[in-house]
Amino acid sequence: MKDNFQELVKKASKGDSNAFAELYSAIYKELYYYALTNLNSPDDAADAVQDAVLDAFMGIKNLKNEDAFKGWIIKILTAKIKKRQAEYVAQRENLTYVDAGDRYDDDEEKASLDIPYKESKYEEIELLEQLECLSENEKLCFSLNAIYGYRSEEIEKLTGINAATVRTHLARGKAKLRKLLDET
Amino acid sequence: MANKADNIYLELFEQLPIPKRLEPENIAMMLSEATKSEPAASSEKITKSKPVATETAAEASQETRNITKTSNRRKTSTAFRSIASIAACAALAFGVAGYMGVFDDKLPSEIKQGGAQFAENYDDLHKTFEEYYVGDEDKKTLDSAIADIEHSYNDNQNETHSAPVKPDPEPEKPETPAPLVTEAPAVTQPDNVPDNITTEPAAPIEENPEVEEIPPVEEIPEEEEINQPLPIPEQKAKTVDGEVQFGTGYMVEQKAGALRIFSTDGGKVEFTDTVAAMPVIGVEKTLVGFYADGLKLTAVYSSAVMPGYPQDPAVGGLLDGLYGAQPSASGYSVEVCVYNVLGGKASLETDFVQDGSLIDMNYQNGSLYLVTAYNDYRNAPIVGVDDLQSYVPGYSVNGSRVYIEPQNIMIPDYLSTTDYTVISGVSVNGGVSVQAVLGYEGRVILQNGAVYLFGYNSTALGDVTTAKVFSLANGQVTYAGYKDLGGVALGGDGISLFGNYIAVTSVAEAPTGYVTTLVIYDGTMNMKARAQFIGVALTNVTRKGDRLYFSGAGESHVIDLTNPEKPYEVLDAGPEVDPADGLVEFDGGYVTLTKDAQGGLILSKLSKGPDGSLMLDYSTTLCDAEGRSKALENNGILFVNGSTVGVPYGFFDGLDYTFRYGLFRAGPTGFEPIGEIEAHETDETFETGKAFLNDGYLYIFSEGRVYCASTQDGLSVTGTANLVQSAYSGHGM
Repeated sequence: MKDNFQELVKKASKGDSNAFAELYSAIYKELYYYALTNLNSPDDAADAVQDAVLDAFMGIKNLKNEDAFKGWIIKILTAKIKKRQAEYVAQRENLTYVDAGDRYDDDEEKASLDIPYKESKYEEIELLEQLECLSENEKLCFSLNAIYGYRSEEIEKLTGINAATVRTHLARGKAKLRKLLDET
Repeated sequence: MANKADNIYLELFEQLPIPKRLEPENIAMMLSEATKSEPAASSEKITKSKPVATETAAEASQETRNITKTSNRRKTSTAFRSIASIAACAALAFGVAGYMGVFDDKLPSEIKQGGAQFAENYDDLHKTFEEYYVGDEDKKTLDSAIADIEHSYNDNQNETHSAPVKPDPEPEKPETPAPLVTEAPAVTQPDNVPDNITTEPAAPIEENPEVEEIPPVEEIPEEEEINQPLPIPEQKAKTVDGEVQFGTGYMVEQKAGALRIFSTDGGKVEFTDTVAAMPVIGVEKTLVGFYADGLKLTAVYSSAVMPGYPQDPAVGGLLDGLYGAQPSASGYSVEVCVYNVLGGKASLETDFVQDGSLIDMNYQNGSLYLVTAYNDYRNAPIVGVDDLQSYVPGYSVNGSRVYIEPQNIMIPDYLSTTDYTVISGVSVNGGVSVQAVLGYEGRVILQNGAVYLFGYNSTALGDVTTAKVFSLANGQVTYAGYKDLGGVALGGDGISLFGNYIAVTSVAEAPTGYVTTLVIYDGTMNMKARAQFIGVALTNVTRKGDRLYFSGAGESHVIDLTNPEKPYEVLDAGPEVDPADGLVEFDGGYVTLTKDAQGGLILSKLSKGPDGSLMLDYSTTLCDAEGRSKALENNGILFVNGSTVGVPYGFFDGLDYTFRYGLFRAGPTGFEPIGEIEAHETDETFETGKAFLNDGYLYIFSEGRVYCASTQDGLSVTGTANLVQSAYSGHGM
């Protein structure tokens, strides 16, 4: 299996898209779940995964350690996720630039202050919906731990977040989820 | 790795559908197209995958629609932002055309009429007081409302977190962390973010695993609650000793709590008069600001009756005739003196005294506006409606004392306190206008053209902060209306002024949790921008420069308001301390005066390097050894005008002092001397200090002498005013 894996990486580094796709097929679902947890919609998550895959395909010839393919592509995806999150901040859904000609009466303003209803990206699976109560960093760390089973040192390499901080994020995130679980 | 198969979350994820375009077959197709076109192209230039041929047409079109929707949304938001930018530019251009008051007819206003009524008579007012004390005791203020929110959030958090947080038992045991610092991950600059939005590298995050506990609200015993006065914020003087302002034919220097007037005419300077507050027995008066405007000079004093002195108005009345107008019975007042200055001599024209403690003031177009807080009535119980002294603030004009008329006292729809906020306008031409609002919560913003009083209001939509707005023009104070804002504004810098914009931060409870909202309003309460932090109560907000720092619930955020209409979140707040803090800006960089090891004085021009650190551009040595300068302790004493800098310095040569003032300009290779003046004295009181430029003349101050020097063709003294006798008579420059 390992030989096959390394053979596929070699082929992919020479531009063989089918070989790359075969490597990708072993991990693509987890890539998507990871992106979905940390972004606002399935579309954004799919965009991030596609962008990461493209970058990985273009750069696979630079991959020095073939065994590190999975971690390497997750690292690329993490950067894509953070880039999109930064765009969220800049375009934050509730950051509105009001035209001087606009008017707001009480009802409109009240409505705009309400939390806008978003279609559930988790198909209304309650336990997954609860993940939305975590902060961005908590979700990042939790999803890597829950989906891939990475530990804090591994998460540090993937995200750049200090391992001790990762442990804090994991502990807090799990505590929040536990509380929500108890309430339901 | 841990056994991820045991993870319930992974099992739940596997129930979610994967988008078709991520299927390996479609990815292979996408990658294949990529290799055919531009192998080295960035991912953004490559089109997204197309569905495989076996997919249904409906599914294919669905995917296409989804992608298009995302793209359109981004384009729309960019266009929307551009429109707002154009509108903002239009508004700015409009405002630059001339003096535009906040309530210019051409600017739309979001302020609503009504929201309060004015008292018909004193009986009306008296009944309100009685109703407040005897009736509904459950009155809320902004502070108590936000304390309730914090308390509620604290209860919620205490159930979630225990301090310290215990990590899950795993084979790997975490260490007990000290304050943690993370390294910033690689920077990814977004490509499609408009120019006015900047994204900065993620900041090193300092985290403490100890959960920050919000202290519970201090309970006040019921019987005391009503009688607790709201604290008056410490007033800050608007001008300080050493400040100089120029009028027509004169200049005024604030010195030791008084004002020194110098006549200035054609390069001459002469000390002509001193203006100070009229003394009143038992009253301490402090100069808090002055304004020189043409021939008029306005001085403002904050007064307080010293402990032990009589407060009986009858006694005060007796003293009035001897010593001038008395302050209010309890002793806090603000006095405004308007002088006419002619030939360097000041004559008092208007003496206005307002009951209450000064909150803020400003001077606009020939009128001074004061905002004062009055709660002195608490010192005595209300005896009856005729006992006006006990519940109605008053004022005096040129010694004649009156109580504020009931029709000028507003009773808001919701009364949170019975302290008053009083707004007074005093024109330099003698006109006076006073309005009072019953209810003071300490949140006031005063800016050109308007004053905003923020308070608590209970509406059908919930607890809100309400802003009562008064327009200020031509010495008149007029109620303009009110605006209910969303949520309850936070304390501290929860309401703050950025240029002509008001930033209000509030926390409100929503069905899904708390929401912290920052809203930017213009002068007519139009909402110009808004940011929300959903799911978190950021109950601490602090302002530093053009930024607001939010924190709470273990999170912290920074919003930059350099352009208040376009706020953005700063991901890397940068170092706490700017190396240029405290330096004087000069010629695109900074200028500083220092002393070297030999005691020589060095004037240096600095600038910031690419990494933010300071670099030396050039310097000059003013004197080699044993130099002295008032600017060493405070570089702010240096005179700077564009690319010209003035430096006071001197030295003792064994016989006497040499005091100099040097003027330099920034040249291509360093400081170029323009000119210098020099005096020899035995007395240190003649050491030169600050300088001020007016009409081409530089006025250089020392304790013992003021010089007037022409800046045409170098620096040459055209006149002096001696304040102290020099040991050298006839020794000039």
